Amino acid sequence: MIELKNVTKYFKIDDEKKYILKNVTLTIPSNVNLGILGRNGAGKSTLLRMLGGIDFPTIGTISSPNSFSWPMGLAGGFQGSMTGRQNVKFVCRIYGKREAELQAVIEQVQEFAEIGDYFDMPIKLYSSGMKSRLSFGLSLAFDFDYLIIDETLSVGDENFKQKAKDALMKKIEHSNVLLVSHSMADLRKICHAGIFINDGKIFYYEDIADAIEAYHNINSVQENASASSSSAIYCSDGKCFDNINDAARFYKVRPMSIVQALTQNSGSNVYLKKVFWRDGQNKLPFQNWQNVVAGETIISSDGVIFENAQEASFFYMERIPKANIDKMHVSEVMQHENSFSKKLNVKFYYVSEYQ
Amino acid sequence: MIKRTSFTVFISVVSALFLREIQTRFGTKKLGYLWAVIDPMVKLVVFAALRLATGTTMQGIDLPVFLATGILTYNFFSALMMTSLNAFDGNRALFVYRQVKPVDTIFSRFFVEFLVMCATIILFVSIGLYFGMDLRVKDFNMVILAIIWFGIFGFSLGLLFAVINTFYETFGKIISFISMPLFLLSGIFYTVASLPPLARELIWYNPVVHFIEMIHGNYFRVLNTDYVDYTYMMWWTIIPLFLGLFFYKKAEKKIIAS
Repeated sequence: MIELKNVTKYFKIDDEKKYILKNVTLTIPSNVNLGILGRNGAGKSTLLRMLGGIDFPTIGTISSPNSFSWPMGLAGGFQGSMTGRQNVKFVCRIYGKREAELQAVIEQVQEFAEIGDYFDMPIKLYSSGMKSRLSFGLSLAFDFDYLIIDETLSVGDENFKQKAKDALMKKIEHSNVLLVSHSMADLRKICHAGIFINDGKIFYYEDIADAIEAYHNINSVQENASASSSSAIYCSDGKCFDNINDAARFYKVRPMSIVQALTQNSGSNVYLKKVFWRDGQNKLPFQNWQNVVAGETIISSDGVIFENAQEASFFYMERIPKANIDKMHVSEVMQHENSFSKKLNVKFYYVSEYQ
Repeated sequence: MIKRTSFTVFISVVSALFLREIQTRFGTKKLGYLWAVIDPMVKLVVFAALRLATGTTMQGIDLPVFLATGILTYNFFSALMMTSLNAFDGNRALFVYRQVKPVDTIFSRFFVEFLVMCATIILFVSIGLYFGMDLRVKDFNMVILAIIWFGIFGFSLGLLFAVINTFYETFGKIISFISMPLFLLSGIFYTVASLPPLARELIWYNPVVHFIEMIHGNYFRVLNTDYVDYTYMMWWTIIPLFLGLFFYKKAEKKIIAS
């Protein structure tokens, strides 16, 4: 159980207060896995840190009788000049493990992280993937009431990701989770309840699906608002359109494809290999999609980019309910050689191969 | 998870930090552990050579022993004060573990410096015995008290400076600037009684002199503690300790979150 009483949190930037929470009173019941949603910069991570007791509200109190993990998968708590083994020992010691128990934890972490000889080398020689593996393995070695996870479920290669998820699911049987993620699939799978945070206000939903819906609604409202305010769209081939929908119709892609380019990739549309920009803004050079997640990111022939197959299937389920695609349709399609979906009349590529 | 009392948490955190500090400070280099004791010993040898070269002697005192009592304890004090300055900044990454409080890092550094001092003293005593120096102590208990008091003095200043330094970074630079001449102005190479009256009056305001005099006066049969003002030392210990704890309590959350 976590109790927030009259919690206000703001950051001062140039004497201007930027509110993350404004006078929030809320009780998060026990035995609930909580997902936290919000747009970038809304304060999800700060809220997560406050719930976990390593950041504090400006006004008000947050109290809980339970134990919390450190933000999982973060490599921040490691000392670069010490070896992996020494760092693991250090964390065990601050959690009061006796010397006799240490060895068991070390073996467990070593086995989970699969970093071989690097375990006895200074952490500064590790790649970021190795650091996350070690950190993830370490956090699984303790029993917390709440696990704090900040967008780290997509660490490492396919194999490790599956292993990490399995281990996490097993861990969840005994502890609860506070999860910040942009992957709606993960949120749906792991969490029961959801918090949606926006503009200093916080909304608690007992069902994660409601929270996700609220999040989508806010997003689409804002998309529409920004589209109508500066509606003209220019393209690098010299054409100009009245709005996003016209442009999408002309190039035979989904409007989402152009929205994605404008909002997430500084104007560059990877599928069309063209750059878009709004009236009054400057044209930026073309760039490839940057947030490629370990070769799993998918681009469809109607131009939209998805983090993984599951996200894609959710996307089409929402837009084209008639097609009646079941959950994993996209990943099944991806298994076939030509990756063509008859139901959707769309072809899929991995972004890494498409570029 | 089993609930632990805040004291057991404190103990396990400080001891973990202590081991970690030792590993990172000395354990990463070759002969690293040796360096910890060599550093003050080199200082000692250099200054002993300087004093011997100028030809001054003290009646009834072995010069190296006189210098060692000053330098080794002063080293303990100043290391406490100076390493605490960036204790919060240097360990920022550890505050993601919620049981690690910033003040724990200063405690752990206290014990590390204490260990270093003990090791150098043991090394010096064995060298002294080998060369047949006169190592006899006049009042052992008072010497121990003086050293511990000196350590607490260093701890209080260190805590206060650490808190201030987190919010005003130039403060640390000023402190390291001031501490350079402090080494020469602390009565380590001379006794206060041997100074001219005017210098005696001025140096008197330096609290460190009192501590060094207290150690010297209680160690050597031929010296006394007439010039030591215990009340003055007490104020210098209590006020920084109080202010340090007070400001720390106020700023703890800010230090963790920043």
